[in-house]
Amino acid sequence: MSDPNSGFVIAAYIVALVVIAGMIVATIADYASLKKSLAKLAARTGRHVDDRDERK
Amino acid sequence: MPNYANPAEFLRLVRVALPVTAGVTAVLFGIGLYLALFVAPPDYQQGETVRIMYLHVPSAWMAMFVYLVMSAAALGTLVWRHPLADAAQKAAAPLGAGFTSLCLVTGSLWGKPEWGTWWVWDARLTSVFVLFLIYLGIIALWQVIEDPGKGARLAAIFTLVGAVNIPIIKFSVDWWNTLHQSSSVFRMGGPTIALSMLWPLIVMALAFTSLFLTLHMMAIRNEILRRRIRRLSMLAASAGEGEAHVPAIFAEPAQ
Repeated sequence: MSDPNSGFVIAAYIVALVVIAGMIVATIADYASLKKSLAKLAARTGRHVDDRDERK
Repeated sequence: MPNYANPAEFLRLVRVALPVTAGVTAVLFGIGLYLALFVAPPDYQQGETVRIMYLHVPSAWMAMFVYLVMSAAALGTLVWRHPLADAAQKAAAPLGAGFTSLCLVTGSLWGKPEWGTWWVWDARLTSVFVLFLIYLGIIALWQVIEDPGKGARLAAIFTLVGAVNIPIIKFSVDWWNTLHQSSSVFRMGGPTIALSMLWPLIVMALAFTSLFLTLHMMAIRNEILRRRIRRLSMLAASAGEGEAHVPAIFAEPAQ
């Protein structure tokens, strides 16, 4: 691209990459953190399951 | 038929659908970026700057589409009391804010070389900025209200009130004299842009939509886990350590 405004185009695609990657990473990191918390909590409480509540 | 209102059933659906939608998103972005950067011609007036449109326009569409999804979810919370509606609404808000911020920044990066300014307070730009503020307000509302039920109802009401901004965004270029150009794709009489530019735009729009669906499913799954943790913590606190009784609805579905 020899256009004098190429810098704006490149900047736009970099911003898009950062925003989209940010959304993906934040969602995955949140999931990993929640799974970790859930595993810790389940191990601490020694949970058991009640099927009566399955369809509530 | 599976009951997807049941969180455990929904998690099973997500486990199957997620690899498919993630794969489709990656393929669509691959094709869309190739078409946008290497196949689509430069515009006769804008030159290479037109390539920003392949990011700006889909992100603008997504900013409004995500809000419509949130409005439907708000109705689900208030009218039908669907068990996953508030989770769907809460999960969509940060994604909507992300797409709106991308729309604003890419628009600004296009505006500087084409209009000679980063920003003008015209009706289209201002109404999209208001949409961004509404997203932030909804996210903040979820954060500050501790009771999830009350938070869901208030966020739903706020979302439905804010929905009035969507037609304002769409028709702002018709109702007011704006610097922003009028619609060139979704308009009476059909699109006015060349097919060589329309196709990359459509593929990029599909890629953005598929990305949202993928991330939304993942984020709803996160909300279900967050509720499960909250319930487990409350049960553990009320029953005493080691004696928690956990309903199956909050348990992990079978692998």
